[in-house]
Amino acid sequence: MTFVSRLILVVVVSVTAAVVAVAVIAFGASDRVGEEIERARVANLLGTLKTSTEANLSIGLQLDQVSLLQPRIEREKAGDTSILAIDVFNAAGRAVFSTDRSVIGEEVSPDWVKRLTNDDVWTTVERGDTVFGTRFENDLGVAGGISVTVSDEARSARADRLGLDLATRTAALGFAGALLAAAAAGVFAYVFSRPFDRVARILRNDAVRSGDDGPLTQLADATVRSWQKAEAQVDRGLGQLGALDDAA
Amino acid sequence: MQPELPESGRGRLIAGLFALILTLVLGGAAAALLVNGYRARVEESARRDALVIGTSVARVLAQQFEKASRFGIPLKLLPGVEVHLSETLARTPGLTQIVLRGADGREIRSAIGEQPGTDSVSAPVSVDGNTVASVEVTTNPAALATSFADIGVKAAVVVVICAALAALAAGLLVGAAIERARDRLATGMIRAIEGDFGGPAETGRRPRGGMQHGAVGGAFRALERGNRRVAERRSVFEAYAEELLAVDFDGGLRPDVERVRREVMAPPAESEKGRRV
Repeated sequence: MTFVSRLILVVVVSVTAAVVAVAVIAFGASDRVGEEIERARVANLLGTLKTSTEANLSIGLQLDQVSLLQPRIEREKAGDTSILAIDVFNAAGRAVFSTDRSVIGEEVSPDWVKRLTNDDVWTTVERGDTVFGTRFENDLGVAGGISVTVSDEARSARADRLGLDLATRTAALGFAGALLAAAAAGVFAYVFSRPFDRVARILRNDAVRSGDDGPLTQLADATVRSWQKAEAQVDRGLGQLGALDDAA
Repeated sequence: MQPELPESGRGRLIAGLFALILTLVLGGAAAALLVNGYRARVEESARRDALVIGTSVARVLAQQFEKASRFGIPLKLLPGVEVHLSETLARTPGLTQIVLRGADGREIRSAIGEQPGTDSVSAPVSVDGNTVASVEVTTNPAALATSFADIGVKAAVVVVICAALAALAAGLLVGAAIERARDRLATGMIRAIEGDFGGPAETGRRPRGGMQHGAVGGAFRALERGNRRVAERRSVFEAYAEELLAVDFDGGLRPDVERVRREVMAPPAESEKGRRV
């Protein structure tokens, strides 16, 4: 591989790698934006359910007596196709209300119960779907939690759409950057190898000295003089041998 | 006096600096264009999502205010509205302000966030078919795209790392190869100056691989051709001298032939000096 090819390869790879690495970082950021959008969408639902539940508990009702929660969560699920399930569970981790009525009375994921210690909206991934949750309180402290399981389809579709856009931009910019880098490397290589070119021209007697006094050029001039002297010595020697031959 | 050879490491430094600057400039420009264009695209997409969220929040709040209005409580006198609006604003990313307006459009209660809003949606509060108020929600997609806040710094770090690696690779793969070729060529020419026209095997060996092509290979080929030409001329002289000695049966010519041979085969510089002396 010529040094020009090596240089082109190095700069093309480095520019392309920089563009691709930045694209990966940008995609990671946009993925987090997708998560933030999902969180924002569900946060309001969780907040209103939490407020409503706590309001009922504050008037002395037990969680299983807040019967309006069941139709409420079923209505919310029916109104949003991306919601797969809404569960309301007590502090012991048993589902009290759920859009899937078959799980009422069953134990919810132990991970959800563990997260009740945190007052913020939490997120976890279960069987490929995202679960957002929060806790609600009564006068005695944590009374239970609400979880909303949402489908990842919308987020995946969004990620696919943005990913395609990013890939197109990356390919176009990477190609343009690589092309410019290759052209710049070609120009640089031409300038960088000019001493060799000058040496070749001097040694071939193609050109007189270009006024460049670089070390290689000086050596080339000296080499040409050496050849000329050596050839002159040979010519002189041949003449002397001829004279000896004639005399003999 | 022989000219001094170029100082060692200069080629590596120049090649490394070139790759560093080129990657910083081109990689940096491409990364900036990519990040800015993509961020605008993501924010545009987030803008639609923020509007959907804002519409949903406005509708839910409007329904809540409708219940209160049905009981005949004037919204102005309803307690805890501002707290409720502030809580809703705080727990819903992407919203920047929520304003409850009366039927005349005047603000009744509001919760204002820190960031300015870009889009707004509103939902009417209707009781028995009459609009008694409206809930206006203002959104800002930038609040949803906070993960893009420090992307510029991350991109800059990545570009600098790529540029540093490119400089290292260019210095080792390109600069060092050029320096080796320059040293070999200089050695070959110095030998030719000293009268050693033995050809590439003995003098400046041609570089391997791709360095045989291009300007570098051209210089080596020119040196090799010049050396070969002088060597061939010397061979012709040698053959003539041997021919004369072969027919010199009494040995009378030998001293003269040997003297001429020594003069011809002497290094050009030395012979010049000898003749001047």
